[in-house]
Amino acid sequence: MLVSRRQFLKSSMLVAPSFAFMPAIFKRAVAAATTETFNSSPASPSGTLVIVQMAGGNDGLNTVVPYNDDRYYDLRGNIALAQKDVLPLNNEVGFHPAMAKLKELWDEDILAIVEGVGYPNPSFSHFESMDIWQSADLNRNYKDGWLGRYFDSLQQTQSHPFQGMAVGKKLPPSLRSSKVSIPTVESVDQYRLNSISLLKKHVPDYAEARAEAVLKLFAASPRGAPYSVLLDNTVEAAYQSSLALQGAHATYKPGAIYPETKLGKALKLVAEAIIGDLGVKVGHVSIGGFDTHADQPEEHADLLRSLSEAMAAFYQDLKAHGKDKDVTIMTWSEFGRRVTSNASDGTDHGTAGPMFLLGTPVKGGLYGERPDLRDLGNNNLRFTTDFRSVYATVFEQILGVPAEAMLGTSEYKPLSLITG
Amino acid sequence: MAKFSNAQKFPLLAQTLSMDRRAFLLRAGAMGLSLVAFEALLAACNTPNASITATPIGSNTAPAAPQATTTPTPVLAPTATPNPIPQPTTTPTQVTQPISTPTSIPQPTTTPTHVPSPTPTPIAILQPSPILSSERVRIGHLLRRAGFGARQEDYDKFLAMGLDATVDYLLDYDSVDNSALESRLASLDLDMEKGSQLKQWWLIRMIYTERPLQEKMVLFWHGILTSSYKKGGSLFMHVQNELFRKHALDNYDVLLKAVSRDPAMLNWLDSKRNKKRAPNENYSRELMELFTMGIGHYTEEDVRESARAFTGWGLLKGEFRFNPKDHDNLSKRFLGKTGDFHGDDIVDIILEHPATGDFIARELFSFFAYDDPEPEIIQSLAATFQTSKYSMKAVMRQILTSPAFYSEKAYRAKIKSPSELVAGTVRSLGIETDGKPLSRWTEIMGQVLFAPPDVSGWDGGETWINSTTLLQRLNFVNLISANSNKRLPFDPVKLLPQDSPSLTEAGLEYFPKLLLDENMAPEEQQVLQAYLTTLDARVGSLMNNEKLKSLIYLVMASPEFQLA
Repeated sequence: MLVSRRQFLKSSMLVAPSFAFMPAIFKRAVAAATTETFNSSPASPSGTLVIVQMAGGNDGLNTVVPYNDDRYYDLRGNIALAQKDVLPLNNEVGFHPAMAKLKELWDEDILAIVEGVGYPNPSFSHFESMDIWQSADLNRNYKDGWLGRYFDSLQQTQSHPFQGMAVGKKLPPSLRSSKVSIPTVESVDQYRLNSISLLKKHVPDYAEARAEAVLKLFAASPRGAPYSVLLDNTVEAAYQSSLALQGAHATYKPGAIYPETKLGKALKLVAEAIIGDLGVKVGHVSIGGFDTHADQPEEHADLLRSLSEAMAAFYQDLKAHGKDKDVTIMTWSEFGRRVTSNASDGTDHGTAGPMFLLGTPVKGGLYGERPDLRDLGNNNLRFTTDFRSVYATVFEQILGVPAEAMLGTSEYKPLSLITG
Repeated sequence: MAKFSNAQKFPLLAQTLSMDRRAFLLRAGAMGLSLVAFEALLAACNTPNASITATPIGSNTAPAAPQATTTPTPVLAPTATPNPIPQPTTTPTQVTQPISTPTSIPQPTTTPTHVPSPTPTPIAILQPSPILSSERVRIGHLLRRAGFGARQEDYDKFLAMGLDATVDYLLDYDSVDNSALESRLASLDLDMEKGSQLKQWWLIRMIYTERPLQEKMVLFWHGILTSSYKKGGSLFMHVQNELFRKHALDNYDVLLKAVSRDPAMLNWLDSKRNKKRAPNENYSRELMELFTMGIGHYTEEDVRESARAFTGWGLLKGEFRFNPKDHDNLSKRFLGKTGDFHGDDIVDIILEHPATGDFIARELFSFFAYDDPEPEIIQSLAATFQTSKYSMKAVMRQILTSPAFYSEKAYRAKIKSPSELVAGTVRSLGIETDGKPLSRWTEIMGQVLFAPPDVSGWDGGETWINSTTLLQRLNFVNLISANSNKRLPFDPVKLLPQDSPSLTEAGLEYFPKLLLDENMAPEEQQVLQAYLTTLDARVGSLMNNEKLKSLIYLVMASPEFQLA
């Protein structure tokens, strides 16, 4: 018989915190810190997706550079990347020179690049365009994120607090689910429920008893208030996942040297959870600063270097632990940038851009169609692949769920870039 | 299924309680539990409204029989106010019932499927909230929304004044003496060029101000008319913060014209780069999208034309300066009007547009009362906005005196922002602090004052709550209640009546009243009682101070404490 946690807590509401007798629900969380409880029964045979958001609108043209197209040099005069500097992928396009680490992985044939990704009637507002990408809905009728809907579809989410994991201060809207609370972690050190009290000296299991009382309080609070379900789900996810992550952290030894950047630290956190077998199906990290309206060359190089080094380290780390087989990293940005650069050595908001998928399950290569620099719309690229086709790929080939159910339409067909 | 084998292996206490006493105690013994603890517990659970007598652990004497009180006493003693607060759900007697009934045996999983919609039908707003029929609760609610929570002295003062006079007091703050706060700040001698000290300065204001609504309006404006020290530095943000304070309830045209000249804003939205030869549309766009009408009421052409009107608005030596050479003098066509417009003309034209009144009405009501207000409420507030010539004070007076503001729908309908939680906790508990440790806490809860995440400010609402921020909220109230930071000294005993026979019982009565309108669900009160019983069983009558702190922690770790 399955017991909902809330019912369980309510049924034992009047009973004092039990000390020696910890309810099973807590035992699970504690056990997870040391064993492979969460890993033992995955919801479906499926892989893991790790998302890297490049917030602000990445300049795709200066990321995957059409270095043999004169038109690029005509339009990008002041900030064009010289032919001799790019890292060629073939005789048409090459990486920005700061992306040496990703170039190595390209050479290993595990990096897919989907060119010209966008959507019809593009928005030039950061907020609006991010909303569209995060909900996978041009009309934004869905309240949950495109991956939140995936969590909603899973069974047994309550007992697997780490099926999703976001690194940062805020839960990204793409992972928002009205049913499931997704752990949002900024640093391992802070990710714990403190129990400061002088009583600890006299009551050895004070911390557990008090935590249990806190969880009971949240379970006991009357439903109907707008935020009561959110608070109750979150406190449970927070407590269980903090125990689990502390457990994973205690034994984790990095198998690669991560760059000392925000993104490097974030991806390392996701790696800890994956390597610690916490059952992560979707991880999310974010790197900001791509809104390069002015003085782009130096800033963009730093960003791409950081991206490239952190992604490579993450992949190496998983590989060193033998955990790379089912993990794919995907990058996205809310839009690309204007094809013509501006007078401040920068670029304004644009449209389509490339997406990367990296990992052992990935068939490396170029996918989609390169937008034509001779056929622009208001100085902007015309998109060639709808981002929802990439999402369909993720749903069907990585997460193992039907894309139609997740996207609400069968219009978008997966690309074949994941090996069987 | 196998996952739940533990639940099956160990009997649930709920089931256990329906056994006879002997079997129960045998089983408790098998679980390694103190007999004394369980006997007291069992008695407590079987006797409705029993007051539990603590028995020191390790004493060889037989446990004292629990004293059943002659009259049913709620866990929290009745309030001293004329209108007792009705309990929102079941009575304590009913609460004890399900324990021994078969219905308490665990049922098949029913995961909560959807967050309930916070928008009932408009009729609901006209229903007076039973809980809010108490003047004390109304004042508590008002001070959480139109301020940063209530100290004991606030309750004493405003209960004597009555609700109506309290609303006037909050709105007419110019006549309120705030010199104690200013002297306190002067003695701290903070450096406004340093971001951390600037934050400390503002948090001190929130905690110790005698003009709570003025300070709350500053926080509101900071979230709407955003800027950040990340572009322009702390000193400018201090100037802007004082500007918001000066115009906190002024007419909106006055505030908008002032903020259009504000150095932090001129930096943040690139006005200083907006020149005749190279117009920059950043400020022009956000003025319409985020500060006034909202998207959909203007065209890209309007954005360009308005940017032309603001050309030449720049900075010189850290102050606003209009440079005629950079200004575009030619005719502009904006929102259907044509003329040689300057920035102030643009503000005037925007304010005449009905969308502006709707926008500001919605922002204010959502911030102070509840999200997604009904169209009738917006209409009514927008009409006041127009007829009063954009008076924010008139709109705020209407909100704070409206039935909707004191309706059930409004009560506990907002999540406290981190600064509300941090400043409110310190203020309510009467803690004397220089405020130095506090900004770090708002930040790890997700709010960096003077640096909102982007130009649209903080999203608020459910985005304040995720696993990390909730852990930090609990850890913050742990730090406070345990008195573990010397800069945040807290002695709960000082707040309690001198003659309390039992510290913990007195605390169980006082702190839910001070912090939670004396309004916790009976089941939550039972959790507190049961927790106390366990502590008593473990350490006996010793360490009552620590037990009290531990209880106060639970009061502040409750879900209700997260709500404003």
